[in-house]
Amino acid sequence: MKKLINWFKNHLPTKRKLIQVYAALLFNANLKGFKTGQIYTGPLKNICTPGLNCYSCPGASGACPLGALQNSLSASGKTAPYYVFGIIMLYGLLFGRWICGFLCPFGLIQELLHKIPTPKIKKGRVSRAFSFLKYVILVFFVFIVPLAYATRNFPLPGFCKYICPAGTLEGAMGLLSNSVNEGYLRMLGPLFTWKFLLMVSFLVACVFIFRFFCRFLCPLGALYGLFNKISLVGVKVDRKSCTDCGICVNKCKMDIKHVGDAECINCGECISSCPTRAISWKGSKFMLNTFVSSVGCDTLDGETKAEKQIIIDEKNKKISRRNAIIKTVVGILMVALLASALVYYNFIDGKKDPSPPTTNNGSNDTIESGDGEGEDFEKPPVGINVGNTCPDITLPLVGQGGSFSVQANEGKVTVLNFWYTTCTPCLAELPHFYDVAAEYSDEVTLVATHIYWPGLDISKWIESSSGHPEWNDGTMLIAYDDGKYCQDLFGFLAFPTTVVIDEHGVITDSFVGGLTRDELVAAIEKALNN
Amino acid sequence: MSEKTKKNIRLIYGIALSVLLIVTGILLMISCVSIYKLGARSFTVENISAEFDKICIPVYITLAAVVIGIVMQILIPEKKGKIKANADSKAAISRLEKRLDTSLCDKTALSLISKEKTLRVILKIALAVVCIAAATTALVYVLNPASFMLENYNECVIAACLWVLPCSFISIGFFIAYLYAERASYTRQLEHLKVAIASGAKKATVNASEDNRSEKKWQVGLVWGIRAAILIVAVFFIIEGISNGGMSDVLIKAINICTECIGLG
Repeated sequence: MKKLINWFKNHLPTKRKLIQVYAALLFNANLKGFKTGQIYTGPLKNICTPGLNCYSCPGASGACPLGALQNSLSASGKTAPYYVFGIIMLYGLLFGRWICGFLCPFGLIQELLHKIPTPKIKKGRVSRAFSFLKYVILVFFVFIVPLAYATRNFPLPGFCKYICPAGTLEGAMGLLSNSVNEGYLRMLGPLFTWKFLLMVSFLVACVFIFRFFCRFLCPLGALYGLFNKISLVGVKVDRKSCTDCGICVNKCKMDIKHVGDAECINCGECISSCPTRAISWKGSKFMLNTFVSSVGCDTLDGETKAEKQIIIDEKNKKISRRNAIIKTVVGILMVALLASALVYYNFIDGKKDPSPPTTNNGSNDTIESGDGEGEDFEKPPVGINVGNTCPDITLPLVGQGGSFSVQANEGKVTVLNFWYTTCTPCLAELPHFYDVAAEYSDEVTLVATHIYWPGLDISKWIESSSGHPEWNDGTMLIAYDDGKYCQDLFGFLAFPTTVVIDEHGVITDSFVGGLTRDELVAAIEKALNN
Repeated sequence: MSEKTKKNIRLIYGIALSVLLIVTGILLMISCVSIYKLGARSFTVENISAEFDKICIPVYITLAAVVIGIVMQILIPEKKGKIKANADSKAAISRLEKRLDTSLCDKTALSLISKEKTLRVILKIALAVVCIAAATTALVYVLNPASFMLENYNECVIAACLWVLPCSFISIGFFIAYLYAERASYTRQLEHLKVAIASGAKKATVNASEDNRSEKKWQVGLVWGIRAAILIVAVFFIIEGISNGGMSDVLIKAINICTECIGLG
């Protein structure tokens, strides 16, 4: 028992661990998302959180800076990515890689995995050399790939799509783990398999190698590392007191050459190990006053020494009180911030939780009863599920003007596709949709509906030299979802999404994820034969 | 129980747990690949359950082993060894060089020191040449618009990776060799320096005004200047980004799930 108590005393979470857990909770404050299987869609999601935290994670309260950066670069033909660059520069200036050490949720996951008691692979010259690989990833996947395809009006966030294990773990696995999103399973294929293999490899590697992903692959860490030397928060070395003994470098598990360089995550664990106390927090003298030393008192005579000691003790008491007040105030503020975030995300904002469409015939989401209009065919109740009569939706058409109504199109099969300009699979499947629309022009109306996006001129985008000007020829109707039917009525949050409606206005199929030409044709044939 | 026995128990358990973790990881990967190989749209609840049933025993054993490992850490705690000082030869050289009196000390040692310095310069140049050549080769490919075609974009990115990654690994390989060679050179130079100093050295004088290790006022000022400039640029960028719609673009992207971007497909 004594051993157990001692162990717990020695293994109490450090302040850094507590801050890491706090940050992970704050950046994933939408806890109800894990229960509902839906992501947070409120206005606060335009704020980038500092760490690597996928914005498709059901709990995510903000946007991932790396994902936002790639998407901004992908869309750089439309708007210059000032906002994301500004945010990253600001975070870099304020915190540098302190973010990796204290605020990154994926960093916390890696550190927890490393706690599993197995033999560990220590750092060395090989690992130091491989730490430069993250700069290659940064340049190639984060900048070159999105920019190369941005010139072709095709969004391709290279790192998110092909590598990011945080996206797979928090986003994909987070969504798939909820039975509500069972429909997402049908789109899993080679990409998921590749990313799953990568994720498992990284997680297993993290058990043996400290912060494997962080050290060798994370482009966000590489970006913040560029600011490490000038960041306002972090550790600093007093070069006068430093004896170059190398204890700090030996203790550090990262591939640092010196404390505070681009590889240093500013965890501060070297501070206590320094024999000459040359390492300290930047700005610590402004935040927490250091204690007054009694060095030098020994040389004074008895009475003067006692007086001096009293003065020093009083000063130290004052400083101690001040430090305690600062710590208490900061603690209260932090708790208040977390509490408000939890209340806001879970109880105030986004009360309306759109339920995603399922492929069953349940009538839970029935909106109103359909009328038979005296036909032989008895219409099922109006709803958003497969088997329901599709509610009447009127969408303004882009380019040719006018509007499209689902009800007015009865007698023909309607394929209602929801897409947006920076969605990779959406733009990958639309050319097939255009071909199929031309092939089935007599029996099928194909409506590619761009989701609600204030300020975007879709017509201009389509007509642009690198867009698809042929889409404006009327073969496939291009509509704009100004009524937010997609999110508010159907509850779709994942794209592309396609709804197939038969000639009686009954929903015959609903797909999330990209469709191949064959799959689309099969769905149309099914609706035609319904 | 002696400390050696405890250490051995920890080591054996650690190795066993490592094997279990690696095997579990491999099994998870094999399961995923087997489902994928079943064909299109094979990721169904039934298939996933069937595959997991096959590997559930090792997975549970591994989880139990991890828990036991944590309990073992409590019962047989590991004693943390004292961290040894590992003096940086480079730093030691820079300190000792201040005591070097070229007019007094052994000329042979001095010439050896000079040789080491030349060797490191050659190594640096060689590394730079290799890195520049590798980077140029990679950039020539990736900066060519024809490398990134719209059709089969996945294949294009994979092809680019197969071009970029080998170039990166060649550079990294050379860098590893350079690091080892540089370290060996510094160690040799330190030995020569010690010999040189032993033959004749001047008294070490550490004057605060001469100490180039302490930060100078202009350096501190420069850092604050850079900070101020970055802050101004960052704030300007954020304001400009909000006004040009960049912020709302981030919102739209963040509230809609791009299925490919998170690896769903």
